[in-house]
Amino acid sequence: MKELVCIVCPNGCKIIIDDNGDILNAKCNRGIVFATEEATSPKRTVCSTVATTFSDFPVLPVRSSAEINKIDIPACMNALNNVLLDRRVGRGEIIIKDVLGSGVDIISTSSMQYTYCDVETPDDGSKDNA
Amino acid sequence: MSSFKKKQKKIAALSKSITVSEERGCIVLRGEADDWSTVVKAGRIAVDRKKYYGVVNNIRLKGFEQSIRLPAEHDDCYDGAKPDVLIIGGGLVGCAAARELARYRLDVMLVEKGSDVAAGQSSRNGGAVHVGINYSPSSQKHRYNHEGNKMFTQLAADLDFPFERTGHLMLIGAKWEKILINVLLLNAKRLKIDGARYVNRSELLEIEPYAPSWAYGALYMPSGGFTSPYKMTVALAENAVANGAKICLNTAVLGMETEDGRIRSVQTNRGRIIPRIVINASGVYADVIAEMAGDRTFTIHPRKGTDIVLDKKVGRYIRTTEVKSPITVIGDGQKLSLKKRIEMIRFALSHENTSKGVAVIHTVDKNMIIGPNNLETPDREDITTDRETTEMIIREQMQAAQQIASSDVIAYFSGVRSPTYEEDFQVRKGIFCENILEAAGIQSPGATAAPAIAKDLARWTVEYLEQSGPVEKNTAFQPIRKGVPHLNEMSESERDALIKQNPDYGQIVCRCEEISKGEILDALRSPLPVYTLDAVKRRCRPGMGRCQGAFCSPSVLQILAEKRDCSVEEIRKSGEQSTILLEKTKGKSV
Amino acid sequence: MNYDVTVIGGGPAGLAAAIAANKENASVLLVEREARLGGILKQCIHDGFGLVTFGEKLTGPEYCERYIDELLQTDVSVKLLTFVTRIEKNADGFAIHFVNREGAAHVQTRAIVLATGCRERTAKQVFIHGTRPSGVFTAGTAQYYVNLMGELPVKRCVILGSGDIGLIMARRLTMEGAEVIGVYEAKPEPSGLPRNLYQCLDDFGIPLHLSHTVTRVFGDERLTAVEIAQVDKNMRPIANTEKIIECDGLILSVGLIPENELAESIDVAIDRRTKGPICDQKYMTMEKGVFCAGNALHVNDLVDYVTLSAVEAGRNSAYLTNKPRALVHVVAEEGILYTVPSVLDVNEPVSDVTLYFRASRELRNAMLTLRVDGRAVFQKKYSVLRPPEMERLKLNFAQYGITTDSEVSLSLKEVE
Repeated sequence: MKELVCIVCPNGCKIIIDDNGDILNAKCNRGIVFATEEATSPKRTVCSTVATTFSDFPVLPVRSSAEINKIDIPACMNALNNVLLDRRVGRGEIIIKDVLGSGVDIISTSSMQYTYCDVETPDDGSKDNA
Repeated sequence: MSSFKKKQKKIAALSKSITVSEERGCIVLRGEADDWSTVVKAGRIAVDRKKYYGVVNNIRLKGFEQSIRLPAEHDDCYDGAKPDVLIIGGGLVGCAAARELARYRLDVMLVEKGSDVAAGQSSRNGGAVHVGINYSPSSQKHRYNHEGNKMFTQLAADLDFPFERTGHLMLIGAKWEKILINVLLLNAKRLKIDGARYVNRSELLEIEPYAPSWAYGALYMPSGGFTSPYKMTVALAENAVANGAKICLNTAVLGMETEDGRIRSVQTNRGRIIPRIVINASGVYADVIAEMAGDRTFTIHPRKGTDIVLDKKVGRYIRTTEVKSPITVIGDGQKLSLKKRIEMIRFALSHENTSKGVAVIHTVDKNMIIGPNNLETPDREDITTDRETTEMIIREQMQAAQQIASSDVIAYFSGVRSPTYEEDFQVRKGIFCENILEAAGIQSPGATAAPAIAKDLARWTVEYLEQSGPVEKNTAFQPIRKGVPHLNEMSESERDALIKQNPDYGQIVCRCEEISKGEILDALRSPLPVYTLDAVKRRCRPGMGRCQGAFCSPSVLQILAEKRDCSVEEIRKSGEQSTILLEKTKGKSV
Repeated sequence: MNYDVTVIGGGPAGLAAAIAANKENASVLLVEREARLGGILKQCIHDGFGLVTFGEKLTGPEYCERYIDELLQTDVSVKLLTFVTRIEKNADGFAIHFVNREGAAHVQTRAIVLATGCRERTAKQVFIHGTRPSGVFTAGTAQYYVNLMGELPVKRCVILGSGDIGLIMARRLTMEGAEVIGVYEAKPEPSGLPRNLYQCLDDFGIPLHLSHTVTRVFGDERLTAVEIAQVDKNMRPIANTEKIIECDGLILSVGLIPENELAESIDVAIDRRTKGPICDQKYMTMEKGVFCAGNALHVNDLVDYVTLSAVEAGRNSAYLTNKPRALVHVVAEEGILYTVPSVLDVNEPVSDVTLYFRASRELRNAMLTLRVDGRAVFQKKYSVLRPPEMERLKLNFAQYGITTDSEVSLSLKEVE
């Protein structure tokens, strides 16, 4: 028997997979799909950053365009560590195509191209607090 | 029986393993004790201000070894330096002395083992500028406090550090306690302290509208005030450097070479220094340094105190500095017997009363500080805080500041004060060493007294050096120092004009204290720039507010790295080991 | 300059409020203290945002940039790197004083939407004692270092507090090669959402120790160790349960506090439980013309709810009238930690009120009861309610004939 917390929605149902592989306590179909997958081949979205050459934007947030196998996360992180971005990309742009041959891309989750500032921003690379 | 014999007997009763002797005009204690309170008790018993220079308490505490926080630096960058004056210690007294000496054409060198000035008790106290109403007229505390207090208005104006003379209050809870006030007022007359007077409850409320409900009346002392002790130290240090003094941080004195009652050289972690005269302003280590020079006649017994900083939101509940009278027992004050009352008054006025009573202080930054308590400790550098103490202070102070809650606490800190057993300053010329000046036993009211102490130290230094040739005045001495501007205290038009000149003044980095990038850069442009988070925090407050740097420290780090032209990983909190960022997450293999 | 609405804060709440007010044809100014819009979401690079509003699992930057893109299509005036120093009430509304790199100035506005977000509780506020070394970070600051600067602040750390940011940082630091020894929580229950406990801790084998806290830190310069102790029901450390753990970092995720210093400076009444302004169903505070939304109002666990409340606040701020208010308190009784709004203005429509509430403790099979003058007028059963998870409820108060004399209360009770 295995107990897991469903994460497809904020409800966080506690789902039980019994020894016969039957799924109990799931309140919706998405939960059953999730539990089946968790039991067989768990998948996760990888969210991280890649380095850039820009001092005002030293790292760019990225994620996998779909979930990848959980066991592939370390290899995926390694692939991300080797990226050095030298152009200002937009949101959704592909940073690594077909990462680890998974069929999933690593995409930018933030735009480096906004020019919405009406106050002169200092060009010394320092950023303000967050 | 002679007084010496009496002391011997009393100490023998305390512990069999302690020996008492008279040596070189001092009373010397040796042996070992199991607990620190025995060491302190023996030291207190040994005091005889009239007959001896002081108590040299060498009783070891079983199992205790002082761990000295030493700088990580080891080089020879000051090796062979031959300053006229070597000041040991970059606290208030050392920095004030450096500035005073900068009035002369002398080579003045100050060494400080910390990574910034005001690393010890000078940055770890509430900042009260004392009135000194309870000191004995013959004490050094009275003399220097009285003179120092009068110097503050001018000094603060010259050096642009915060100071407000708002007055101090000692609150009483019942009519009979007025006796203590009357005694103190008589003392004030003897000490020539002006303006002190009794105020009844309604007068009190005019001075302090949120005075506690139990306050019957108060002793009002208008000459009291408050300052920022670390900003004051920084101001003195910067002005000293601007006028030619040299301040060497991360530099610790490790030993001295003496000969025929003279210091020949001083060994540091950065080389051997050969000064003509040494000023010992080393705070909690003053007896250790004096010992190195063969001039020790006193003992520092570290006394720890914790202060608590409350949010600006409650800062408005206090305008002055308030302290409950030492004889006031809230609630039960009326029930005490006459005998008990007399006993309490006697204790309050005696030397044994080392406690000033926990106070409520309005700070220059409009916060409220409560504290400190008093704890005798063997560890000269124990600046830890603990739950029991802070809870005790908060509980006790809720009586005096009835509006506060523990959720108003934004910070707390401990400091170690450096009293001698005589509980007086030891500001003097060397007795057994001709080229040392001692400024020891400086604790409360040290901040108030420091400017006056520095004057004597400078005068004696010049007198000594003049024995081997004339000492010229530094005609270029510039007493005025401009601090970092406080833009949030300016009018909109003033502020606007300054920002137009320097846009960095318009870029707010610290949202809690409203500090701009321009102000931080100004602090780094000073004659004594210190590129650490703590140094910037002390000089212009980013990170001192309610978020305690959670929002602004990344920005401050980046400003520091940019200004020093180094990576952010190289920036420290304070000392060399206090790393903040460890390595880049990405691009390690690129 | 004159504006109908000035929104203070350019995070998710401020963005949504500004867009909403602009849709109602109000002239809008958005003031943001940082150089980039997006607020804290800029550094929340993990996914899980937007399930309610977009039906998608977005990362923080993606979520806020959708609103930034929308804002840039409007004629909302935006001032970045601009810090509001003071608000002054006057006959025509408010003067908003600010500074930026161009100078110190002020604008006039009829209404204000406060969307200033929240800040983290610090080590001092949870009374961490010992020495004062470097290496103690709030989770948000650590997140800034890692996600926006690409810097690792710790290599082997302990996390105190099981708030969501702490859990997320446990995963993030682990992924970046740091070792997270464990997450310690003083309360007997975790503070974070179940999915974060599962995905951030369980996935990486990071243990969660409930009823444990950090009692002391060690290290003269950099942190070298922490002392952990078990705590009793009152969260007081239990003697002789202390354990020393060697580490180089302590990350704190011990709660968030709405930032309301500006609100307090103009005497806006603050709810002592939410630490945000008391407001009515239109998100107007007790100060006429001052609205509040997002985490400045109360700490939300889902950004989607921040957006939804901000849209309401923004829209309502565009229609400021002189109509007097008739206020009725919604009293939070047994089982309810707080409700937002906590006040109803019965001179305004109350037929479509979204009420947010939190349970004061974990409850199973709990019956929510709305009472008007002691009479139960509405009930709803919940199988499980936990304080970390905020609940949202649509209520039509119009059918209950509420007047200013009514007593309105909400309670939760476990039933069989």
